Parts: sequence; C-alpha cells; structure tokens
Amino acid sequence: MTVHNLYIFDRNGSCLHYGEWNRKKQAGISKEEEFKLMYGMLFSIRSFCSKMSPLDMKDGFLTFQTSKYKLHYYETATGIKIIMNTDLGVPNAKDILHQIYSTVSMGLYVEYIVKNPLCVLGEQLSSDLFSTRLDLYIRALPFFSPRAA
Amino acid sequence: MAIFSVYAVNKSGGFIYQYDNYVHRAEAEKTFRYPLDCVLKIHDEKVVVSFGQRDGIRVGNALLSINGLDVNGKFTADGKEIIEYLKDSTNYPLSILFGRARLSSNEKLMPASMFHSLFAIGSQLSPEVGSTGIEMLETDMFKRHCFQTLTGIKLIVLTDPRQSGIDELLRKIYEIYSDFALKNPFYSLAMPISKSGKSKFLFYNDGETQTTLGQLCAAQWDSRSRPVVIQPGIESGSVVMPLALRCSSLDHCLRLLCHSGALMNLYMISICSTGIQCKYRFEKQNCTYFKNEHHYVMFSYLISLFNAIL
Repeated sequence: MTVHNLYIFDRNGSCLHYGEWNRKKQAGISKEEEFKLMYGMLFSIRSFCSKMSPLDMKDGFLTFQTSKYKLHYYETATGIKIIMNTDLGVPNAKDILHQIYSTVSMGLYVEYIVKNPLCVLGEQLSSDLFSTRLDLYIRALPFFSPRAA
Repeated sequence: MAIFSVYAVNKSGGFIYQYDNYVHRAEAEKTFRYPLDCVLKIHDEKVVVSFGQRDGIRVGNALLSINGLDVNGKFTADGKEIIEYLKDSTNYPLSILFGRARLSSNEKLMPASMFHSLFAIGSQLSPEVGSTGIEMLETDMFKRHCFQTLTGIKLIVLTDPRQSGIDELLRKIYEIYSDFALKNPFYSLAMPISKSGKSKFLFYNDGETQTTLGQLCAAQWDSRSRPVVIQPGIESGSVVMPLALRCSSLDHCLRLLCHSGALMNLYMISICSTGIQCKYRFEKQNCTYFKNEHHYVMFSYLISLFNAIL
C-alpha cells in the first residue's frame, strides 16, 4: 500500500505543486506536458460524469482505478484540485485530500501569501516549508510504505 | 440497487450498443407567475436554467414541459419559441416542469467515444508499469465499470455505487455478445448491433423441428435431415443468394452450395483459435483455400455427408 505521486492544480490548470514518492514508470513526455495532459484528462472526466450521471450529482467525480493504480481526486470550491495516485489497496482518500488542502495547503497557503508579499497566486508554490510539511504528512499516512524502487 | 445502462464500444471508439434503464430522473414541477424568476438560456438546442436554483430546480436542468405538454427543443408543442412565450405576461400563470435532460443517442455517442480516449490516457499516465486503461470510475451517484476484451471491444456498465458482482456481469455480457453478435453471419464486425438483429438462424429438419445454430452443431448428424437456413423474410427451401462469410476470432462458418438447383446453405461451426478475421466461400466443385488441416478434415466430412444426402 503506497502513494505514488501527488499533483495540485489551480483553477486555470497550472500545476502548483507536484510530489513523487514511489513512481515506477515515467510517462515518456516532459513534466509540463504531463501536467497539461493530467489536467485535461480530469477536466474531460468531470464533464463526462456530469453528462452521464443518471441523477444530479452532489460531489461529482471521486476516483478511478485501473488494474495497477487508483487515482483520487478532490476539488475545492475555488477550483484548487488535488490529485493523488495510490495503489489499489487504498479505500477512499477523500478526507485525506481534504486534510491536505485545509491543514497543509490552506494553512501554509495563507502563511505563504501573508508573509511573502512577492509571491503571486497561480504560480508554482516554491515554498520549501510547504514541500517538507506535505512530504512528512504523506509519509505519516497509515497506508504509506516506502518500497524498494 | 440498479444497473443504469450498458454500452459497448468497438476498438476504434465507435458506439456499438446501448441499453438504458434509468429508474428515476429528478424532475420538479412548479407553477410560475409573471415574471419568471429563473434565468433561462438556450444550450445545445434545449432551454436550460442558468441561474435561479431553488426548490428542486437546479442549474443545468432543462425545461421539459409547459402546462403538461412536452416541449420540442426550444419550441413548445404548438411550435412557438419558448423564450418569447415566457416573456409574454398574458400566458401566465403556467406550470413548468424542469428536470435532467434526457440524452439523445447522439449525445450519448460523444461521451462514450470520449471515454475510449480517456481510457488510453489513463494507461499512459500511469505511475506503475503495465497498467491497463480505466477499469472503474466512481462518483457519488454512480460507478462505471469497463471491461476491455482481448479484441479491443469495451463493455461499459453504469451502476449504483453499492452494486457488487459487476465483474461477473461483464463477463456474462461478453459471453452473450460473442454468442449472439459474433456468431451471426449477417453481423458486420465493429458495426452497431441492431436490437432486432439478434435474429438467430433456425434450421428446419424434415420433421419440422427447429433447432438453433448451436444446437445443430452439438447434435448428431442425421443423414436424412436436410438443413435449410431461414432468415426473416425468406421461405424455407427458397433460393438464397450466397453471402459473404465472416469469421470471428472464435468461430468459423463454412457454407456449402449444392448442385441441385435449390441452394441449400449449411452452417458448420468449428472452434478455431487463430483469432484472425477471414472470409470463406466454398464451392462443391472448386475446393478453395483452407486455413489449416483442421478445416480440411471438416470439409471433407461435409462433402461425403452431402453426397449421401443428395
């Protein structure tokens, strides 16, 4: 049971943060292209779910899984999207992603904005403190176990 | 607990089959006075709510009927434009039904084909080696399972999130697909399966007993029986134009034309694992190409059998 990687996107589609823990296979394209592809795919899946849904949806798209990995998706009201790829054993990471947003991201986000007058919304979060805190949080998750690469 | 729909998509992304079983669509009917407090706009030939969510009427719901009469796109049942009709205060009060718009088959086709591409992207972006495409997609209202066969057909089932046993169901659907669609010689591969086109081939024996294709293959050959093919609209024993045969990856059909004037079509099923699509046409005099020895043996048996009959 492990976490492979994590993306954070803003509402315009630019990737704010990307973290990798246990990724075995690269996508074969550059990181920027991968971010765009990931964002585009999720945007399409979301609109596809809202069209296909037989009843009105409250939360929308939550997860998808393939034979090897599971992708968890969480979107806030402001358009911040958090995406986590884990392996198949993880049941439902929605509250974990919500915690990442509220305690790790939002808490540090506010600190980041308030204390750093030079940073701009929508650009890559380059705060070291944020990255370290996020890394520690992921490693502390009960289903995370670092495997030999 | 429900299965909402079943779809099948071929390997190039085209829609082959759909079946919908929507149990309940959220609809809300309200009586309105002038002026209307929801903002409506035209989207995709339908009138939808763009602002003014209340009382069960949500943003994105389409206008389904006015005063009990179903609307026709952006026109009412009488042919008047809805937006103009609603601006006229003399038509009020009236009751309007809003609800989730029912998708036309064109509109279903687009997401189904889109899913085909998303399936492939999901496999490309995988952080693990050897991942397949998206097998299961979950939202809070439904779960969408996708089973990809070895030949590239995707069978897609939309169900309630709590429904279990879907893997079994998908395999069963695959079995039914190969039994009724692939073994039907009139079915073109990768073309839409017509609902009435699950027309099975019936064989009449002398004793007027009907057997299906599968039963005929399993049954013992009776040298007195004269199998004649029947398809809808053709009488037994009539001349049937020779048809091009298609072989699916699972079955091969051989057809033999006899020399007695009345063409009799005989279907013989043999299981072959070559997995290649091919066309066969056999004449009694000119024996043509065979795929392998297995077919030659079957064919010689057929020739001797028919010599005995005729």
